Amino acid sequence: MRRGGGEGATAVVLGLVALVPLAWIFSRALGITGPGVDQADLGGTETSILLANSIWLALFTALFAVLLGLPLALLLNLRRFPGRKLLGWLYFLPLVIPPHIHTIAWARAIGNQGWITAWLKDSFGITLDMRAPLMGVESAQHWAYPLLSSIYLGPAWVMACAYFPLVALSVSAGIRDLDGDGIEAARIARRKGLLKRIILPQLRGRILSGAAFVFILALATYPVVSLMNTPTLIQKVFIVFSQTSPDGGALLGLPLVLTAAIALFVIGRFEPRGQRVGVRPPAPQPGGGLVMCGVIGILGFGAGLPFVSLLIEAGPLSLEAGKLDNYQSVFRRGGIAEAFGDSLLMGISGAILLVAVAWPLARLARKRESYAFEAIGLSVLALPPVVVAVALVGFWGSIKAETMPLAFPLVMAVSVALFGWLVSGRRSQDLLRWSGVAVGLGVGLVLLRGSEIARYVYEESMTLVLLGFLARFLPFVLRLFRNAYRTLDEDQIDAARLARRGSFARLVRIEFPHLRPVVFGGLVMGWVLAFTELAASIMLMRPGWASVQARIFNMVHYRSIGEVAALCVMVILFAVLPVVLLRTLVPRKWEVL
Amino acid sequence: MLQPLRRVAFLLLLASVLPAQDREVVVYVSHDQEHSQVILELFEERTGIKVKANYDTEDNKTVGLVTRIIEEKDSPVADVFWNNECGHTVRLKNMGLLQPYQSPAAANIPAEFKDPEHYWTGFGARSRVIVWNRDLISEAELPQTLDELVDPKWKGRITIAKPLTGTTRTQLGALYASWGEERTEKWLDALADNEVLWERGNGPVAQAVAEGVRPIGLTDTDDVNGRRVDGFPIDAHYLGQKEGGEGCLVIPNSVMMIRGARNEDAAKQLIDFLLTPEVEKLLAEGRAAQMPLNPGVDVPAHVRPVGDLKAFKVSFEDTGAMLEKYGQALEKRFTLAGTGSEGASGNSSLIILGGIVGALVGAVVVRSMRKKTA
Repeated sequence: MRRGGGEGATAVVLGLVALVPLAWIFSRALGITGPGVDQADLGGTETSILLANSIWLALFTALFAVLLGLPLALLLNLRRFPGRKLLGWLYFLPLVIPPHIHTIAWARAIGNQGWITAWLKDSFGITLDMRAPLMGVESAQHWAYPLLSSIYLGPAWVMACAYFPLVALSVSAGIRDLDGDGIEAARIARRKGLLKRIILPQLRGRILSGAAFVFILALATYPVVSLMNTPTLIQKVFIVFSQTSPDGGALLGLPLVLTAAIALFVIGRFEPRGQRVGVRPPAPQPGGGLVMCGVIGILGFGAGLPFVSLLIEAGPLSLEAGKLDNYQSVFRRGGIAEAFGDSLLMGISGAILLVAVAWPLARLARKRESYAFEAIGLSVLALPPVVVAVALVGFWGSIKAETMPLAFPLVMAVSVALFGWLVSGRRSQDLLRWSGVAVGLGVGLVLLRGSEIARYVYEESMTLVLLGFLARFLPFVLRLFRNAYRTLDEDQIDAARLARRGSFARLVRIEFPHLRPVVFGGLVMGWVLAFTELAASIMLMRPGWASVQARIFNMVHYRSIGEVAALCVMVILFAVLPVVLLRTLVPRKWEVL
Repeated sequence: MLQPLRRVAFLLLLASVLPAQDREVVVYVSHDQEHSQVILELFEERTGIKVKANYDTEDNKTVGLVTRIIEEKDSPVADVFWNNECGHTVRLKNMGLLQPYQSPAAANIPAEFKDPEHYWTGFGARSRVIVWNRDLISEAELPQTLDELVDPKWKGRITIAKPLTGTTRTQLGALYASWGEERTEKWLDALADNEVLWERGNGPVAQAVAEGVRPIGLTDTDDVNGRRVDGFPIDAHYLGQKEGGEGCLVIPNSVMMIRGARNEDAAKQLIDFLLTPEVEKLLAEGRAAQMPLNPGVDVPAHVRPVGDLKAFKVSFEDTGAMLEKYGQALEKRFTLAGTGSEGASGNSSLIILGGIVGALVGAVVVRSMRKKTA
């Protein structure tokens, strides 16, 4: 383990934020620190069907995301064509559009009354139902039934459109790690199958890595399956919550986490390891208008088409030409400006906090390569957000009210310290330090019980929401930093250490210049994730706070679809604004996304 | 590293001891923010009491706020809960999370819409109604009772929300309480035989009828009115209003004080305000078109005051008890209904998935072994 107090503090933060609250709710559900759950129906037939549906849905989402994201990354990184820089800016856009807005937008295109549905029916007699298995196309259902009756292509496609930039990001990073000289040599030697035989095999790990992220996010994305009535396990989690059985709901989330952990563990074996220092990435080759059309086509599917659907509903592309009433009436509604303000504050604070916590933690764990640890850490992403939210509310509530059994914080303190020790190298000489952390954390948790700090976290401010962002998205941002640290030149670090440069000097002089792109990338990623989050923050927001994402969901209920679309358009523009600002303000060499 | 942490802790502590606003009330609101916020702002304006509100999303069906109230039971944050239905209200009362308050403003609210022990009081109600499409069907053809919905002439022509959450679930609880288990389940079986389109909520039910997917549906008055205002050719039809009819189920908003409320006086003032005819009038005039429980409130022509209706006779206590008893059975029956997965076998899907996962794991193992051999 590296020296310095930051690592211990980081482990404490991580433990407090995510692991301890989750341990709290699961221990309560299992009857260790609470009444327990009589029946979560984990083994029931219905649960197994829902789990199977969830996995199929996530698999197809990942497949569609690869189909969109892989060619996009290849074209953008390996080809030169007119408008490449501009399109390179835009490919992040689908990720900025929250999944529920994607759903609303796609419903206006391929829903019952959608314009594409109407066109397909009028022109070819094809009836589409985006909510039914296999899109409701009868011939496909007849062919596939009954084995594939669990495949819901509509929601899979919508989620893929929301998440495919993750695959593109991962593949782009992989392309930058490719040996450009080797590829150039193969090209000069006119080797056939350059893409198939040389480039794609080297990118396999990156493709799988991006697909894995999409897979686990699809397992836990509630708004899409809620709006499209897709029978998946996460929907049942919400139904169980509606019977006000949070512990039962939490237990039902476990199969999703387990599925994600298995998938990540398997895929982790294919991931590239080791350093790629001093490698020149392949230079883009000339491409033509066809390449540009391909990129525009993919981006059009991912972001353009849903955005156009919204503009058709809200204006100015409305059939009633140039109508902008919807935008005006949205702004006339009370509380919209405040909701934008609060969402902005929560999003920016969330992004900064995620980077601030992920960075030192990645520094701590950079020497460790544990498939199992990574799989466990990332699989938390598949936990239903409502479970994370209830865990945080229950945990901090019990601290504030002093109802938490004293033994729990003590056991947890030891567990967190043990976790930190395992992550940081399992060296016997570090045991004493980690014991100190355990004692400090245990005493800290006990002192927090009934304190003003606990009350402040629980009742005032947006602290719980920020903790929710950390608990949900930290592994994601952490991975960005972790990958960057893996490509750091350790020889330089060692040389600096031998020259008696301190940890801080090494951080500033060597690590920071190398990590600047990731800091920017982490901020953008953190902003997008935090600003678009809905399911957890709706439960974690304290009285007096508002979220613009929640307003959209409320307005959907009363179906003033023009206004909903107008608000969606404004939210998208609002979400893109900080990304554009960051990219404009920072030097070009900081680009990572 | 510890220095900045100390500073943050100090700032948090400092912020927490700063004087709070003198008079405030914390309210959790599951009624749509579109309608409730205006009313709470009016209360602030009239009384000078700061309202700190937490709103739920309609799609959460009060789940978020009720769960929070339960999780916060040892140290409540909310003073008042404005629930847009009664099912969870009864549940909260039975869990001992409410404290009684007999509001003077509740004097004119009919007894069946308030708790006899004054733990909660109803106001501004919705009703379960038939939504019908004027372009597809005539008023004369409409069913007059719930029993008529299982008549074969309605086969493939009805849509209803799955009774897993919200007011449809409450209606099932009321039917279990009033009709008993046998009759209710026979009715549910007959509905399934009649090829009902099971939607995810009452809003989508009204939308499906508005778009002509089905000519009639069972939903709430507020969902019908929203789409009627948008120009869709739909109307609400009240069941059980003829001679000898059972009446239609009326589900009011309910307001209650949370046990341990820290701003008790302000909470009482807010409850009094919400129960006034003025607030009921505002709720009636909104898109939700809620029906006043206070007599003599002036309402728009499309809103029927509850006093003019024959209401389904059932106590919300009994309804809540039935939902406790039959909730899981409903969940089992309806989770997969209307999704295309009803006929699916969980085992076959899982076997295929197991095969895929097994193949992947096998591939990894073989690959590792080859590497070792090499």
